[in-house]
Amino acid sequence: MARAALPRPAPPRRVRLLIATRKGLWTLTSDATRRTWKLAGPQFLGHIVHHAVADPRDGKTILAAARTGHLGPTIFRSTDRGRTWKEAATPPKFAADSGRVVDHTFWLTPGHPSQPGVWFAGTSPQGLFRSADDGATWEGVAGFNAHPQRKAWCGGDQDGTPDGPKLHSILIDPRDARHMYVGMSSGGVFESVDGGGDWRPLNAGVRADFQPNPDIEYGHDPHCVRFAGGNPDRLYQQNHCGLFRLDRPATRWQDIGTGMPKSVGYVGFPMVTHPHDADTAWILPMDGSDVWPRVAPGGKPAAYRTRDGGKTWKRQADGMPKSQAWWTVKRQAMTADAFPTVGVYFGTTAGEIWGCRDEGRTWKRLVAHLPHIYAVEVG
Amino acid sequence: MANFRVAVPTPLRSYTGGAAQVSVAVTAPAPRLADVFAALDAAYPGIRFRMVDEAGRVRPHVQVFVDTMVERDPAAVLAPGSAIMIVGALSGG
Repeated sequence: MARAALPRPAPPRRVRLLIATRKGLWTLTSDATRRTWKLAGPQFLGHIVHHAVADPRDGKTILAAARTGHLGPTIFRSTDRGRTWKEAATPPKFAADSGRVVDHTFWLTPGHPSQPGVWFAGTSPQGLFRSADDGATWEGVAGFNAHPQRKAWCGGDQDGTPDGPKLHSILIDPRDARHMYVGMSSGGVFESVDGGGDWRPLNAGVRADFQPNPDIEYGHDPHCVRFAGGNPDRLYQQNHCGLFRLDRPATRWQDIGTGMPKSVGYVGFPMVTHPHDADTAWILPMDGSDVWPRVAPGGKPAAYRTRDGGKTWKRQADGMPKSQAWWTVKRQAMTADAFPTVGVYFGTTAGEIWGCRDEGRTWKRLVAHLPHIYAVEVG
Repeated sequence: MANFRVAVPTPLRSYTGGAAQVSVAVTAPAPRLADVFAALDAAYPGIRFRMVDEAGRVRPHVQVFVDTMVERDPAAVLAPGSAIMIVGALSGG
């Protein structure tokens, strides 16, 4: 399919982090120097906010996926950059006769620039939903939710993550609104070329060590999938079983975890790509040994950065604790800004935000004492 | 038409303008708990889906009393004048 080259966006003048936590939503803002930061919040105190995402198309809409310990899932919407919020009139929910129930909306993705007002949502258990009115009302994407293979792809609840199986990493090709990818834990990576009408597995080359047949077509566990910066023909994937890269039109993922130190491993949750350089990406490894502790290996946290598409990885830990720091960072809780020299940010389940303004060379704790952080997004 | 008093828990009072007690009218000849949920949603849009899922079941961490008895079946027929009490179950918080 023919697609136009991507323009490079103008550098931002400020940066704002949307911090979604188990107990509400906070924002952290700085000017272009990124030296001093202002924390604001909470909003939705007590709500479990899985994801909050700003719309880059209009610069003022923000959606937040929330539920509480007692109440069912919903979407809150702001059209004034987060000053005021309204609840979606029809949040994502499965068809009444499907026998399925949305536990929570886990992932939000703004639609293609040619489709203002369109958003996509991924839920737990795995479902794909679409809004055409900036998140006010949502409908299931029947091509996915009612796909005859959907149940086989997703497996059962025991095949999902500890707090429920999820549909995540909804990627819209910036050159073609009909070309989409999603990731599922479990299920794998799936692709649609007709706007979600039909889907096919895209997992060749990805290990699935937890399956009797590790070279299966689907049933994988991608933790996070991202487009490479400036090149949506390249995908990076942090998987339960390693690190992978796919360069389309190829359909077989390449193992890019072999350059990681064995003592650290190649397991983690987030995958962050450089907005301007398709060869650069960051990960934050978590211990995947033994009973899968999912904390910084050895209590010594570090980001790892590749500048060559995953052939080699460089440890970046300056400023981070050198020992006894047993951090966990979830798949949506690490991101990058779009300055010419990129800032990278992540939030821990212990409520700390760490960041750098030099592409990972020097890290600084920006905020402490927040609740369990689920997601950090620039917007 | 029957009127039912409904006690609203704090997690749902953002929908009722802060009111802890509301009254809803049900026109069905043999009112069921589901009719009260529907009447609540008509008066306070969005409130139903927070306590009843898309399959029509009361959510696991929401508890409903009809007078003094727990009642989780939306098809349960209500006696005239029954008092409905919705609470956040201790399991959810």
